Amino acid sequence: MEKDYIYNVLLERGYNEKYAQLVATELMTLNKPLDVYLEKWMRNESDISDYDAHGHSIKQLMEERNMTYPAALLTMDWIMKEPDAAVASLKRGIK
Amino acid sequence: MIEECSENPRGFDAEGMKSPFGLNLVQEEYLKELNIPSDVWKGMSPESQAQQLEFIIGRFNEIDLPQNFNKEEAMGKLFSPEIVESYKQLEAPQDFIQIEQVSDVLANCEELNFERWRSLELSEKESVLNALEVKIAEIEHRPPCPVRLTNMPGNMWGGFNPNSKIIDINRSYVEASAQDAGLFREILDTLVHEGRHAYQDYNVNVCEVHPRHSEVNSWAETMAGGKWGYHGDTSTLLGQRLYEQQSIEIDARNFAADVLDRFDQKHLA
Repeated sequence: MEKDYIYNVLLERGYNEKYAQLVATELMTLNKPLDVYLEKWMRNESDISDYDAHGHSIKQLMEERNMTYPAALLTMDWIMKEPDAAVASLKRGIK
Repeated sequence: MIEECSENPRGFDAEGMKSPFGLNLVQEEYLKELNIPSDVWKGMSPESQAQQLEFIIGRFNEIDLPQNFNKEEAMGKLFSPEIVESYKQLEAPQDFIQIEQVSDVLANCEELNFERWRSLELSEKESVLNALEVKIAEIEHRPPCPVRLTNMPGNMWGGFNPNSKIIDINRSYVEASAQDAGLFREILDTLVHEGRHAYQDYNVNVCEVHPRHSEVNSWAETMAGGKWGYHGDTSTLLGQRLYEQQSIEIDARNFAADVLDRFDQKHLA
């Protein structure tokens, strides 16, 4: 997927320009199968897939931590790539 | 020269005209205008001296300082020794000194004995946190922020609001800290963490008192495009990693962790 395409969809779905730029860049490097999930969501905003890893799931991140679908995908991607750091960060919470 | 300085002190960057500490000559002259000879300075009232220092700070804030600018060295070259000494009183201590002093404040606070803490009413705990913030702010050479206990989502410990300059701490965690020493420690970590955000905000948006200009630059970059675009939890839009890895978060996390480590050592000693 082209970064510009992702960027424009994010803008349409409520992201401001700065955040859309940041998030679009990160979404370009999603692990499988998250990259496929993103493509589906790009075509249809209500097409949301779930995935579990290391005690966290995409839907749980959205429901309990109020994340948007792209934010939850990025967080799940981090959990898959660096589980120790990501899980510790989620446990630490927001300050 | 003076008119030129006044018109364009920030943009001028002539090649080959740099002073040894990285300012260009126009910037150097612009600052030097505010120098006052020692004998005159000594005869000035404290109010006039304070006003003059404010002008100097204003000019430093106005100028695009080089990344690795050494303010101490530049001050010594541009201003009389008395001005340099007075200016040092305004600058915040180096981080390692702040860490030592803030951990002293925590270690010397009787209410932070856990047995004592758990016996305090919630309003008393809030008062203790406010009193600590006043002392921490003094060490960091910034104005103190009101500390409020607020209802917040379960994944949030607290936050600093750059608009209202208020520090919020999750009320339910403060309540639960009476029963759990781990939570009690996290409350202190949160207070120091949010105070550091207040310090970052003060340095970037009000007055640069932090001794390392490159760090203030790095905070400013994050604030322009990251968390501080609005107050709150940006992990909801950016995901946890982008939130976690912002320079202001890394700095606040490390600062608070170092303070709490020293506090633990002093508490156990």
